[in-house]
Amino acid sequence: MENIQSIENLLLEMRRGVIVLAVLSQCNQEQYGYSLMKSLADKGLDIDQGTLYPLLRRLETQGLLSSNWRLEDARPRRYYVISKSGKEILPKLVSEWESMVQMMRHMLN
Amino acid sequence: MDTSKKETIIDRYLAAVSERLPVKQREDTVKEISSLIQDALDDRSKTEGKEPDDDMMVAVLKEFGPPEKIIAPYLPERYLIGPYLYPAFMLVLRIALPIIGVLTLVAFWLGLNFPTPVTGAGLITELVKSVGQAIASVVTAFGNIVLIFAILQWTIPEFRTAPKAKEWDPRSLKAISQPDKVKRGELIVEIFFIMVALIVFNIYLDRVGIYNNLNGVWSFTPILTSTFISFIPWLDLLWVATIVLDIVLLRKGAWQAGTRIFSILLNALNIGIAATLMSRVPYLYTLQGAMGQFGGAGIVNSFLNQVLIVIFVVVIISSAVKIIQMLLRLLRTRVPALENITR
Repeated sequence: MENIQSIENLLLEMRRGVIVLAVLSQCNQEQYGYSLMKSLADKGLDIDQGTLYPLLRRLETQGLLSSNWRLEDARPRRYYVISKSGKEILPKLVSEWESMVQMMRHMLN
Repeated sequence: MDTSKKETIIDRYLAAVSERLPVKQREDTVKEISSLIQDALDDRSKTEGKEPDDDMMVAVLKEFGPPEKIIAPYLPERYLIGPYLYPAFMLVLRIALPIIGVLTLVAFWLGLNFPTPVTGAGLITELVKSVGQAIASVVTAFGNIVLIFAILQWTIPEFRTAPKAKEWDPRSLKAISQPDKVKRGELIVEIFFIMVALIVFNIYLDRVGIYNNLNGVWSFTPILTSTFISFIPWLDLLWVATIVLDIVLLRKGAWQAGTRIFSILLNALNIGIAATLMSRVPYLYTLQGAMGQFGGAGIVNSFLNQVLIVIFVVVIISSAVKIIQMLLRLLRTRVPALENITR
């Protein structure tokens, strides 16, 4: 039981490292929080609300995302999209990710 | 006011979230969390093919977690004293608190009107009172220091940001502490002073007193009483045993279990002698004849009694602290030793 818990914690830690890259990659088009969560889940990355929404705020504070409120179906929704600075950084992150994958493959084989 | 709209569990959740947020962030964050909950609820409603009800709301809110959890990442880092000020805060505490504790003890014993004769029970009562007062002063000082640093932290903007990293020099690393290693210099000085005390109190006891030079003529008045002299064999025992311990330590170069136990016994003997001497302070010496009319009943006598009591209290407390330190070291060295045996 304790072993399963510690494995889950390790997996969670590993996934945490890729969340920023995953979110930025999905924000080329405007997304509101829930639609983004669904979009990530459809692609196999399950993130709980408590992690995703504050992360969006943090990325916005760091200038990598921008947001605006929009009224849709009589309901206000905050839409996030990658900013100019985010667009500059994303390719660098992708390149770094690819070299990390290569390095890990080399290390594990 | 529209009373027809029923208050839902989501309304309560948002109210709980709102009251936990700073006013500036409240409106925007609550609006966003509300929108997110509504999206989650709509999605669940579509999946289950029915209108949202209380059970569905509860299920969605459970996914979001308690208000404290959902707002935690929205809040700035919370601390009373930040990382920039923390080392200075700890330094001030380490310096100020012991000083305040000792000063309170000294002030207490100096201001005491000690009854004569001093009883053992009276002594213990005053000792407990003085320690209580010292603890109270230390706690108050701690509170004040925390308050001052918290005010500095939250009023001076420079302290709210992390300090810029300085170039790190490995040579700035502190030397590893070696609690078992003895300090030879200190031991040699201690042996020297004990030898002086042994010689003075055993060979030249008749010369301990007050020397006066009146109109070019020297006069001498002994001040130690027979009560004090009766303690000399005990003091000799303590001093000789201390010299033996110091010599053993000088030869071994480090503290070991045996020397620590011996030191604990010597400190216990020191406490016993100091406490007994303290209970008989007025009878240990006399100023009769040494200071004329001011002798026994004078202000000097009463002041000297208080000073001696303070000295004995300090000796008792420092010996007690040494015993505790030795016991802790013994336990720390014993535990790994036991682990090695059981492996």
